[in-house]
Amino acid sequence: MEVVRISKDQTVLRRYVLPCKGKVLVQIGQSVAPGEPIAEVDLPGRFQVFDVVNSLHVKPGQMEKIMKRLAGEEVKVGDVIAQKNGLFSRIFRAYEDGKVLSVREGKVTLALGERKAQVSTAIPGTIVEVIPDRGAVVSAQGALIQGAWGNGLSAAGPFQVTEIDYTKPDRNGNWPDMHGKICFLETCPRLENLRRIVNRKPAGLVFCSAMPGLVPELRGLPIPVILLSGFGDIRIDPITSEVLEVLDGQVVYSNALQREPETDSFPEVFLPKVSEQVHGLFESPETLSIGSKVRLLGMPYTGSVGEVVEIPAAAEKFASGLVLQPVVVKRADEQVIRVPRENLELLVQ
Amino acid sequence: MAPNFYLSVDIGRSNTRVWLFDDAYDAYSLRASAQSPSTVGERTDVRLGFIAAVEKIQDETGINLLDPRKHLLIDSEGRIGVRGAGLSLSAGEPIRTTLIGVSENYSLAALRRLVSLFHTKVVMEINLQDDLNDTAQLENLISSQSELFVIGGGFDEGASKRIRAAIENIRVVYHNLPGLAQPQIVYAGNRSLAEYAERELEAGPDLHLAGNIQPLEEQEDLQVGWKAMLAAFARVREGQIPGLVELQKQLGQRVIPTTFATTRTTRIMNSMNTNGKGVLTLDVGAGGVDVIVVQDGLVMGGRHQTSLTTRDIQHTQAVIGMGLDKEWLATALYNKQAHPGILPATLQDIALEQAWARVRIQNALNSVAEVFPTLDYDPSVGLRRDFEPIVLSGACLTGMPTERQVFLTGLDSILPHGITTFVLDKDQLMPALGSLAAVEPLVAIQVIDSGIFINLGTAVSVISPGKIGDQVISVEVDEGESPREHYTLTKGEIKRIELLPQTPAHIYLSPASDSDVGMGLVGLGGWLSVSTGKVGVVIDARGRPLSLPEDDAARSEKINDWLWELGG
Repeated sequence: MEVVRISKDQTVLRRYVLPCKGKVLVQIGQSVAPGEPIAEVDLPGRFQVFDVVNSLHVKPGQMEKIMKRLAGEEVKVGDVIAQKNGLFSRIFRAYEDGKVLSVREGKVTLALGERKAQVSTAIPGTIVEVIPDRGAVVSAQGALIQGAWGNGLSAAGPFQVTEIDYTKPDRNGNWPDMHGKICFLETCPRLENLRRIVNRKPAGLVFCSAMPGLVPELRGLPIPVILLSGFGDIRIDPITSEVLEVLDGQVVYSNALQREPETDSFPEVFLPKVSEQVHGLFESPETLSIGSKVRLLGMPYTGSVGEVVEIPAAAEKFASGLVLQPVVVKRADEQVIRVPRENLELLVQ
Repeated sequence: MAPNFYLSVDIGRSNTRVWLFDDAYDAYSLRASAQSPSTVGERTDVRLGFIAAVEKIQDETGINLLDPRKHLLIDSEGRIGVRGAGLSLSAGEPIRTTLIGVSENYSLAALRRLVSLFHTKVVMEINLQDDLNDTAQLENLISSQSELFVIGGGFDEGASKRIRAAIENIRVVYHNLPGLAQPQIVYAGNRSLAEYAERELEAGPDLHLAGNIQPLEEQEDLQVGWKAMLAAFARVREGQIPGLVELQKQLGQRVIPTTFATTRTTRIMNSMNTNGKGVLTLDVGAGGVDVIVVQDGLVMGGRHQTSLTTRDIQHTQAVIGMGLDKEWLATALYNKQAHPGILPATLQDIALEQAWARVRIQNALNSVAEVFPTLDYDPSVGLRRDFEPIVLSGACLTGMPTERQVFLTGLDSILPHGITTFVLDKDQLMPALGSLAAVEPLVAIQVIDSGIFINLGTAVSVISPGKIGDQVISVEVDEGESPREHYTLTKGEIKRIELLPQTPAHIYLSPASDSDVGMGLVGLGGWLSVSTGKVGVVIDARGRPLSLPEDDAARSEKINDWLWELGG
């Protein structure tokens, strides 16, 4: 059973690390703003392998004689790396600042130029842990909605619960202003209207659900897209709806990560705020119990929420023929149903 | 005398499973098994999931397996805890791998086959015959962000200039990029260059020298590369998974890929097999499908990660045994992708689950056939090589409600030719026995011999060029005491013959002159001895490819009819 956080006030811990060893730029206790670098590493801009033997027309045995720089040496633009003297002198120079990486087998390999690789925080918060040589963990407090699907991009902007009358033309003020905003629409419209929305330059889109045929389009959009409940025609549930109201009009951070619960990676919308309550620095493990709020996953209940009213000890046979551990859930519409435990998401509010 | 215990551990993406074997009843058998959510990630320790699973076994059996520090009690003399343990792993992203070979037809194709059992994802291939200058090659090697480089090619004592240049470039990558962990390098090429590679690369324990997997033209021996690949796999995972080094130390074993562990068990089964047909194992899990084939000394296989394409959705629609709306089906599949742990609760769900399993098995067989063309698999015609048994494993198959559904899922996705037997690995023991085989081979042999795999039944596939309705085979069933039964099948039919429990039966197959039942020649029949399976004997005269109506409703009805013929 997966755990998903939909909360008006939640501690969020996010880890930002380089894919390689580098220099950490922050300290524990430091406040960081979105986009602020957490760690960086200097990498060569490009490489060059120069065939000294064939280009300067020398014998392999003459390499040592003509090489002017050794492996590991720094070089400046214009420095002579290798030089063959004679009637027709031939010279190989560095065309950029860099370093000689290797002189072997009649070839010299250079690393030239420099580029910086950085990892930056996507949310504002406080550094609570430094991971040596790699990055840090940022802690923040605020409203959070984790979703079911994301297209891998992220952005920030004012959140807007958006309603559109698609029957009207998207000009003359018929449609709401979406420019630079993270817009929430309950249902992803059909392709033609989706493209009309994207043309109005929102910073990001959040839908409750989308029909599967739109996935290739959503995946390819240049802005973050999050589906909160999944695929199909799913209406927004009351628990999420309450948090959406909190987000409305506030600057939020939309991280449309691909969902991988095993690595605690979720697409999510986050609104940082100063909490009245002091929370711990760890996300506590959650367990299913009577009274837990849950969201249903399997058809035909996908996306609806409810409360656990019973957790029978014995497994039972479902219509599929499988014998599974059941959970009895009272849905928001008062309907009481029995579903397999695996087909629930535990909601942390 | 106290029994000897052995423990096997498999760390999956979602669950860590452990199995305890003992020889309390002379031969080794499965004593208990348990699973717990895996704890694989940068902020956790893999040992937590392991400890939780082992504690469940302790609770169930009353056997003390952990010391007060929660370390596995392991003693090769058998005085306390277990005598030995095996460890396999399928968690983690596939290892980003670059292959470097001297030509497409020889070395690159062979390298693809070599890495296929080791949970790799080939992100770049460098063909040294391509007109790629050294700088471009170096830039490519760097941009690949590979965790593993595998170099092959060049017959022993053959040309070496291009390989030497590539080794030099890998040296630059290895020593100069600030990777989190050093990339691993496997050298499986021209043996006369092995010493050169070791000297030039200066990669210490990150270089793994294998024999030449292609020492001569037309000669390929992938097994000489396995040891080096296993070492590289373990080194990569040790750098990625906190607690793995310590867990290996506790167990006294290095981790191996789950796919490779399953391969070992399949090889053991093949060596115990007297029919000479070869063994096929399919392990269908939520995250991927493992296909392992062992036949005639060849080992073929690999892991196919689950993904979802528009073509997959259409294919699922085409093989589902229930009339379901296309939009519903696509929606359910996408939601299943988002939440792989969802279990089938309704009839529609289970129909979808089975259709989706078929599609994934066919995709997996197809991808293995692309790397190993000798597999001789065509999605529409099926698998033309003979295998017996075919082992079905993995949560998606073992979790089906009835054995008949598992049988038909296997039959319809593999589309075997000739005569074969399907067995079900209900306890998902294939990787468990494989990782233990290096510690105590007797465990695997005796557990397999104990009949722990469920015999689902025998399939006889009748291949005939005739048209639907033509008579293709007559069958006579002799079960000893009771009168003989006779059946005649026409093309397009499938027939289940139930057998008396615990009674070996003899079946006389009499195919039409143009029909092939896998007895060596077209039209040739004969007696077939079968042991009782859960499903019985299934005569599959539907032909290859399966003939299905174009109309969605009629097609679903037809597929459902086949399931009903097998008993529902």
